[in-house]
This record gives sequence, structure tokens and C-alpha cells, in this order.
Amino acid sequence: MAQFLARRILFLIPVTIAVTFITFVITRVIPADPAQLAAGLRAGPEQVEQLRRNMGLDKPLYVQYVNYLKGLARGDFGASMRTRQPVVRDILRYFPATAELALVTMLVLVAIGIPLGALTATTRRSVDVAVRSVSIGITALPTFWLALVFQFIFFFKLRWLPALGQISSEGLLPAHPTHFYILDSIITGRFGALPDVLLHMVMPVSALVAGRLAIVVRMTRAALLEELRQEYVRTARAKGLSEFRVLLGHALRNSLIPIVTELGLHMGWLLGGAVFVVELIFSWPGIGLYAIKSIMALDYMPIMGTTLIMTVIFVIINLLVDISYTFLNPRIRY
Amino acid sequence: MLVCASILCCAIVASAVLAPVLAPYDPLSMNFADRFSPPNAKHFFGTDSFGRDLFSRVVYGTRISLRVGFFVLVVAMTIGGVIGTVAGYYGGAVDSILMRMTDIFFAFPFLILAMAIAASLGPGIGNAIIALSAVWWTPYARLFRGQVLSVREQEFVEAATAVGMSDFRVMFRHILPNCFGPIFARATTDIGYIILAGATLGFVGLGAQPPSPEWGTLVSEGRLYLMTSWWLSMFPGLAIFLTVVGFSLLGDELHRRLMHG
Repeated sequence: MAQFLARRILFLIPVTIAVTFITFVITRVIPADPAQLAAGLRAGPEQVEQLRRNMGLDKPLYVQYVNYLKGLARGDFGASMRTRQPVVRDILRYFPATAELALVTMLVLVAIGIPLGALTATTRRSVDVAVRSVSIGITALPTFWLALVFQFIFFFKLRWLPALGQISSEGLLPAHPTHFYILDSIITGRFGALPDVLLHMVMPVSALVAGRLAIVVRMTRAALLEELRQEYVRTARAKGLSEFRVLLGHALRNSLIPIVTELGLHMGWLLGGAVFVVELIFSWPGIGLYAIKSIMALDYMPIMGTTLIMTVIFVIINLLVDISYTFLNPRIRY
Repeated sequence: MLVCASILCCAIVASAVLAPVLAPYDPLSMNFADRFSPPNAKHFFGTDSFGRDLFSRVVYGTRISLRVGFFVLVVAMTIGGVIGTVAGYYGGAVDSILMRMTDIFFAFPFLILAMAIAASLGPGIGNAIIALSAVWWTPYARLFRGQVLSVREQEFVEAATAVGMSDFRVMFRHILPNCFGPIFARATTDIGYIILAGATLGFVGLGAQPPSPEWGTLVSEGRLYLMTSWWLSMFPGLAIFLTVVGFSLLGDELHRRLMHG
């Protein structure tokens, strides 16, 4: 078991190196010239040359790569051309917004998906098929399109929900201890800001939840059906327990194990791309928006930095999922 | 279910093939007198900021989407297939190395990698195809490997090797054709999701470029006018949705029938 853990953690190292290598290659394979881009249209050739030397682009590629790795080891991810800030500072600044969005989405997914899954596993076939078909239909919706539809209906047409951002300008919180707006509004005592923050979250979170709901429902249903076939369920029923208690107290608890481990994958999907488009549409100031703006500006240090960070987070989450599986199911031993 | 899904998919493919016949207008021709007209009898989906008929653009967009889906699928399956088959057949060290490599690519959150590749190669449909292929081959490598591992033990393989066939022939003429069932079903579902991914890249500006009527690009163009001309974003998005649903259902049905057939 410890050996398994050690192997998995050790695997992180080649993966991280490979990730840095691949992102480095990607951003150096570009047809455009970063020095030219950084200098701007009106710069003369000498200035471009100077900038090229400053950026270290005149050195051979492997030297550039080594320098980049050295920088990473120091915690220096380079600086963004667009924001003129160190990439690390930008990432730290924008990450809480994305994390908040992702966490709330996961919460809602669990709160809605698991009961729905349990429902489909235990009711009549017609209800089961109906709920499943609707869920599949919802997942087929392109997330960015759904987000736009929400924005159109709930903001433009109904004016029920705010269109953009995390918080309205009147509600700006003066102090941000955690940068997690929900927590901040509670911690600083400005409870009035809380509904505002939550309202701003409704549309982005809904668009993200819709993308994964069917999968959670399907997983829960399958896992629950599997559990309900087990012997101990028959025993519980024979003991005279109500169906409700059998379900809630026994079957559901055991079926949660595969579901919980799946949550890691959902998080990966979220962080791996879904949040990007949602942040773009709702101008949510998170990593996704930062990455997209950097991509559009061909700003390479942030692109490399965010790709690296998101990938490493993704790998760590998968690792945690694997580890958690061994804890949740004592019968699994490696 | 199978019938519905098949009809839907056939309709999509048909609209791509028959685009010149189905589209009432040239997708690129502008008509400034008719700008921003809502859906009506003359323009089923309305017109955009340049007066171009949206219905024609969406119909022609089917061609682009299907092209993307097809090419990415073929490339991904080829790369993944070769890697997975070789890994599954030879086993041992070869298997370990190839699977480690696959795991490393698996570690990448897909859209980020696709975006990074598309960003550095430059916008454009060809680069989007390259970017998506680079990301999409990994599950196929695993799938093929799994299939090969189970088929490999069967007797006809042993017979083929005993007769003296080269490894290459055994792999590609005997083992592979027997692996195709579940992979084919998965591939069908994937077409829909590849198209969705391509549309997402287009939406972010990394796929097909204007004036090309790719669906994601159309949704992005329409976003500017969302408040006043909702149809510009709505209909292309609907097209994406129907395509994904069609191919997912078809793939799902194929999967069920091939597994329990």
C-alpha cells in the first residue's frame, strides 16, 4: 500500500517534467516571433533584437528550456506581457475565483445528481427512462451555448440574474481575506453581499452542472443498482427495515465509493476546459479567463504557466482520487 | 431509438453532402439591405450583421464540422490504434513504456492542451484538427490495447504465429479486425464530442476563422449581438446540440447492441 502510494507520487515527477517539456515545445514551435510581438508594430529591428536578447530568445532551444526549468524551480514563471505582472502573481490572484466556481459546481452536482440517481434506480421504468433521457439531452448541450442561452433568458429577457462578474459594483467587498467571495462576505461580516455573490454564481454554476449532471446520475444509478443486488440488502429487508432505511442507511452509503472517486474526474473536466468558456462568457475573473486572454494575445509565459499549473492540479486530483479509493474501500489493497 | 438516432445522423450527413442543394443562398454573400432580419419565410434562421443568410451558413457549417470530426477521429484512431496494438501485442517493456507515455498525455486536461497547441500553431481549422488529434488519441490507445490483450490469447492467433506469420501480419490482419466492435461504437459517439470540442475551439477564436461558417465561430460572432439578434447564436448552437445528441445516441445504441449481441 505504501509502495503503491510511493510509486504513484514518484510518477508525478516524470509527468511534471513531461508537461513542462511539452508546453515549452508548444510555445516555441510558433510561427510568430515573440520578440516582435512584445516589441509591437512600430519597433525598429534593433529594438526587436534587443528585446530578443533580453528575453533570452537568441540562445539555443535547450538552453532556453534549462533556463525555464531553473526559473520554475525558483518559483518564477516569467512575466505576462499583457498584465506586466509576474505570472505567479496573476495566477494566485485569479485562482480563487475559479476554485470557488468549481467547488460550488461540485457541491451542486452532488446535491442534485446523487438523489436523482437514487431516484432513477428505485422508481418505475418510465420515470427512470424519462429522467435519464433528459439528463443525456442536457449533457449534449454545448456548455458555452447553454451559458449564452441562460444569459439571454435570465438577464436580457427576464432581468432576474446579473450577467457578468462575481459581484456587482455596489457590493464590492473592501477586504478580501480569502478571495473566496462566499467566505469573504461571511468572514468580514458583510452578509448583505452574500446574496449578491450567490446570484452572480447561479448562471455559471448551472451551465457547468448541466454538463456533467447526466454522468453523475448514471453513475449513481449504476452503483446503487449494483449494491441493491447484494446479499446484505436482502438481509436488511428481511430484518424488517423500511425500504427507505435500507436505501439510505445501507445501500447508498456503500455505493458512494465509486461515485466519490468519479468526482475527481468531474473536477478534472471542469478545470480542464469547461470553466474556461464559462468564465469567458460571464466575465468571471478566474484562471480560465486569464488563460483565454493570454492565448488571444499570444502571451506565452502565462499560457505555459497556466497550462502547467492546471495540468499539475489535474494530476494531483487524480492521484488523490486513487488514494481515496483505497481508504474508502478497505477491501482494496495494492 | 436506433432508428431515431440513425435518421438524425443521416440527416446531418445529408445536409453536409447536399449543402449546395439545401442552402437557399450562398453562405458568404452579403446583403446589407437585409441585415439583422429575424427568422422569417425568406430567411429561415434570419440574417447576420452582413446580411448573410444564417440557414445557409449553418448548413454549410455542417461540412466543416463533419470534416473536423472525421479527420480527428481517423488520426486519433490510427495513432491510438497503432500504439495500443503494439503495446498489447508485445507486452512487457514495450507495453510499459508506451502506456507510461499514454498516461502522460492522459494527464493533460484536454481543452488546455488543445488550446495551447492551436494557439501556438495559429488559428485555423487545420491546426484545430492537429490540436484535437494530439489530445484525442489516448483513450483509443487504451481501448485498442485492452482489446488486443483479450484477443491475443485466442487460438487462431497461436495458429497464425505457428504457421510462421510475421508479427506485423498477425497484428494487423488477424487481431485487429476482431477488436472493432466496442471501438466502433465509441468512435461513433466520439464524432459528436469531437465536433463539440472543435466548436468550442471555434468559439474561443482558435478554430475556423470568419467568414468560414463553422458553428462555434458562428455562435461567437452572434454573441456580440445577443441582446438584439438572438438567432445568430441560438441556431448554430442548436445544430451542435442536435449533432452531438444524434451521434451519442447512435453510438450508445451500437454499443448496447454490439455488447449484448
